[in-house]
Amino acid sequence: MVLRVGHSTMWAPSHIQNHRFRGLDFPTKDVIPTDLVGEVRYARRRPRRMWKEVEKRESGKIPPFSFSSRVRSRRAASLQLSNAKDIVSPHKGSVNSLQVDSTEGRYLLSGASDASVAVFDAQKPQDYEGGGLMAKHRPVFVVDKQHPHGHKYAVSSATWYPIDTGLFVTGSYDHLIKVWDTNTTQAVMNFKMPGKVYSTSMSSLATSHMLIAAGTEDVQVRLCDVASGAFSHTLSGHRDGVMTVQWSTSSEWVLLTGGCDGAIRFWDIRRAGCFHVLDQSHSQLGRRPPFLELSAVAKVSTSRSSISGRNMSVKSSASLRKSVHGNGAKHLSSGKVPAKGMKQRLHPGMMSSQDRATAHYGAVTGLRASEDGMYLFSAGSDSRLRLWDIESGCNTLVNFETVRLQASKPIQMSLAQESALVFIPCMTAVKGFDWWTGKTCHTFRGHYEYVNCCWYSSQDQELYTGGNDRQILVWMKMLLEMKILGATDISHMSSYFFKCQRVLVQHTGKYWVPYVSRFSCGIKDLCMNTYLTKESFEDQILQTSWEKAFGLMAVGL
Amino acid sequence: MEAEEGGRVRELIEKATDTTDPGVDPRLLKAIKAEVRYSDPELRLAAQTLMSLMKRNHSQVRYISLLIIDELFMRSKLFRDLIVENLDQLLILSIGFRRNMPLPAPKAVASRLHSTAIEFLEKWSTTFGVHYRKLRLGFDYCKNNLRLQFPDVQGNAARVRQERREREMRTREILLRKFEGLKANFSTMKEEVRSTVNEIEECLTIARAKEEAEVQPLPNDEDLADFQSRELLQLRLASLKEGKRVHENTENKVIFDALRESYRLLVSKHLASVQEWIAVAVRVDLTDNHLRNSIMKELIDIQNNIRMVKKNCEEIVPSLESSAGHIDDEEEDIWEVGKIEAVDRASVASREQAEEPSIPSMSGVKDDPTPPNIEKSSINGTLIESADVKDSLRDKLLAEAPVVNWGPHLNSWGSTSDVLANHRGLELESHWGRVDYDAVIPAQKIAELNVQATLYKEERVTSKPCNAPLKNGGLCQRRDLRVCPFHGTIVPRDSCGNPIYPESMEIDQSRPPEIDLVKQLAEQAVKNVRTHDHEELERRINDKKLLKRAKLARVREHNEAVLREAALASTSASAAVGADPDISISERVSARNKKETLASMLRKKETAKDRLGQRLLNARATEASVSQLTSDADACYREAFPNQW
Repeated sequence: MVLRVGHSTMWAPSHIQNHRFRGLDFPTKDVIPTDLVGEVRYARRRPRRMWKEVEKRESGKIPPFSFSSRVRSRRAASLQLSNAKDIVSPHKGSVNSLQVDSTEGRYLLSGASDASVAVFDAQKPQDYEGGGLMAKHRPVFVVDKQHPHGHKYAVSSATWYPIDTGLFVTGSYDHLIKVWDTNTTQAVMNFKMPGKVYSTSMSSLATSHMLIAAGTEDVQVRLCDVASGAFSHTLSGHRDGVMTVQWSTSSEWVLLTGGCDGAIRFWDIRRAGCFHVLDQSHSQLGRRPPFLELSAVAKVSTSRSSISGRNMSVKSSASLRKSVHGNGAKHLSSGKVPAKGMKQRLHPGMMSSQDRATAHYGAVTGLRASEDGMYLFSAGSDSRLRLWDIESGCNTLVNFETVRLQASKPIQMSLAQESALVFIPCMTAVKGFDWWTGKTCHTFRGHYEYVNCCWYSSQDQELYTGGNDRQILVWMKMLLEMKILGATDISHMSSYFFKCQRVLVQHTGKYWVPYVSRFSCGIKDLCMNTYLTKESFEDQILQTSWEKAFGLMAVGL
Repeated sequence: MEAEEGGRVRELIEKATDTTDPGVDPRLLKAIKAEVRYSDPELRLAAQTLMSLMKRNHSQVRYISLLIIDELFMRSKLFRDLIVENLDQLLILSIGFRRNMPLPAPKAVASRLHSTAIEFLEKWSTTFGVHYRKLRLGFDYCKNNLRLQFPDVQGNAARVRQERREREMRTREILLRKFEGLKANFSTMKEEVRSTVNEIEECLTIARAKEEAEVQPLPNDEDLADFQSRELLQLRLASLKEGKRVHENTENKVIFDALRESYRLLVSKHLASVQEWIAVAVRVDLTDNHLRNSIMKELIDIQNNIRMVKKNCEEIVPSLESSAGHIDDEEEDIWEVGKIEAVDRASVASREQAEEPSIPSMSGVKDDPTPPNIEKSSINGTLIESADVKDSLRDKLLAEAPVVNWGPHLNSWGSTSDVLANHRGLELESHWGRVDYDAVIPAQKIAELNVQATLYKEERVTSKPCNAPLKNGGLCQRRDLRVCPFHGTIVPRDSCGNPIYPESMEIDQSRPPEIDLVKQLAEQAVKNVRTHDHEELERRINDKKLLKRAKLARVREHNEAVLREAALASTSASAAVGADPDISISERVSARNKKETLASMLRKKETAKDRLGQRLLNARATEASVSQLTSDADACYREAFPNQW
């Protein structure tokens, strides 16, 4: 967490900033091989952009993280409905919640309206159909109404315990929040809420608390302490039910909630009351300029960089920003040390005008904060998607080209940080918008009814979507058709091998012929011309020389 | 070029969909396929056109488009890619599962569209589902979420196959069981048969022993050679046969009874059972064929043995045969009640012929069995011929003969003699004056008087069924007098429902003058128009004085040409007038015959009820009836209370 203090770089240009932050939480197992000496000859055969990049990487012109993030964003830019990967949904009601665990990036948790919860292995399929063309991912286990501890009514949210996959939390319309042991599939804890549970959240940063934030029909947000089994906090402030709750991604103490009253409130759980309410009329145009520039401008005139619609004084905005910094323990970088007194005066009982501010007309149905904790996306029943600058508390006025959003249910958005994309369910489709232009980059049409939730797995660069038609669809870059024939025991092969899913292993007698279909670069020759016995193939896999090769494939195509 | 081509495909598709038929015109379909085959942009355009046609607010258009889509879908990968991209749209438009987007009118076609779409979806997903996730998704959605009933073609076929297999298995089991039973009972059965056969033979020997002395020696070949004439040979053989026979009398009655008993047993029980066993043995499926073969051999031997014994019996004891034959005849009589005589005769002849071969074989003539056969048939032939001659005369007469009611006038049928008028047969004293006893009524007058008044009786017509082929494979069973309301004039048809006499000739005969007339008229009209145009043009060209005016005139002329073209094009028949009169006429004819258009499909059909309603419910009619009723009521009132008005 100490490393995250480096938020000072938020003033830096985006691509640098991206690469630096990505580096910090880049999973080590997913590292693209940097030693590409052996592969350069293939690169020379076919000079593509990719191979140029590989050469650059080889010669050190591109830093490794930037290289990987480029690869990721390229993959994210070409998502489409995957034919090969088929998640067999056991749900008999609409899928309301999807999440891939943050530790391994492997297990997909889904909650549905038929009170069932299922866990899938998103990386390793159980079996293949259609001659190996379709990989079937069947649920590892399902908890439904038949289960002695199962929920009675629709499960509205299902979230993994962020630290490991041993626990998960489900919230349901039967007023209960349950904490489950994944290994025994038993409910280990129950929290009885005053109303239907709309949303639950656990902080992925938390080191000093284990709190489940729950948004319910009730006006109060409750924090359930898993350690004690009791409610530790009751946060009052919303004037209507709370549709969505989300822990801050920059501070373990800060909770963001969006209510049916249209307000997005920021809470510091160490203090009483909410410390900030987002106001849609309090706006700025796009990103703020870097700090130095801003301060210089601020010295010259109070509102040269601000737009006409901005009606808040620089002073108060500064104070707000400071308050966020203060609470987020990020003031090391902020440069401006806030005046304590002002914050004290403002916070507990905020000015009533400010307290009544709204972020959306109608209910706030979805919230998602970016991984660097700088920006917040909110969706409302007014069919608007808004991008907020958390630091300044301003509406950035990016016009996202949403057509219509589902208003009656909480919707789950998802972000692709590197490629600056936000995925949001728009009725029967899922749309991907660029953060800064608001342009539609993707429209994923596959569901036959309304889509409720989506989850972008940044590790695999795959998007999972679930909707009222009970299906869970996988959207990924379609490079190659994965086809594994006669693979009897494939569990030993490296996870990367499977994650990339581009190898077609054909069992021909005593030979394993790994090759790649629809493959148009030198790796193909490598793979096609290399005949290996099973043993040597396994050896190669274990020695990771093949992994490198496949890694390159994964990168390249 | 490309644009032009593209226009063609679109035109073709639009033309194909602009029909009220329940299917695509195969020629148009072929043209579309040929058009699309070699060019991708063409195919893209086709997909685009078809999708836009699917959005048309008319089920018939959608239905035909869907049929074309299916044709292309099964053939082209690119087309599949394009269609699958918008599969949800297509499904919504063809299955109509969205409540806010139901299928448009007409209803009958809409339901057909719905079911066809479901069928196609299933077919597509079983064929290509592996490669298209969206196809699978659509299929799953319709099946699991909407719970639509899919025809499940594959499943049905599998089920049928399974059933057939089960049935076969069952029959095999039954056969096997029977065969096992046969194996178990084989020895006892053999024993029984043998005992019966022995019994018969003993009976026969006993019976024969009694008349041993009378039996003559068999004639040898030389003897046969003596009989030059075939007829004599025949007689000889018959007598020999007769001589060989044993006749029943009071002495050997007991033996004959026993013989008859065992004969019946042999024929009705043993022979039948042996035949059954043989059938079982032939059909049974065994792993070890050895046993089966041996048993079968034995069975066949037994069967032959039984047959021989039976034949023997029948030869020697005619009463057995005749009794059996008699029974048969009786049965046949019962069943052949309605048959015509000729058939009977033929059957008798055939029976005789069938019996014949036994004659020479019994008498030991094996070298030349054919001559008697031939002779017999020839004899039969002459007989039949003479009968035929007689019959034909009679038939002719019968055909000519008038049908008359029975009555006393038949007494004097055909008599040409005069009738005494005052001759009653009784001598009565008449006091009324002189009587001329010699008065005669001439035969002519009698005939005149005897003319029968006949009441016209309507001939009962058995109207034949129409027999036109139906869609479901049957024949139309409607019985109308001349015209079936569905299939037109009733014509004799063969068993498949095709008309036996093609009527085209008649129609052709009736057509030509009309066609010629129309053609002449059309040509004349065209000529008129053209000469007119020409003159006009010439005049214009001559009129060169004012350039401006000429220009204007040209513009006007152009406009006129366009207008004329439009006018010509607007009437379907005249569009092609100059070019191909035949087509124009056929089109006109078809247009006249087939008034149905896409628009007319949408219109509600006018029923008899509607027409009645139109007549009865209009304002005038109601008014009239109301006034009528009131006046009636008034009249009643006046009648009831005549003093009050």
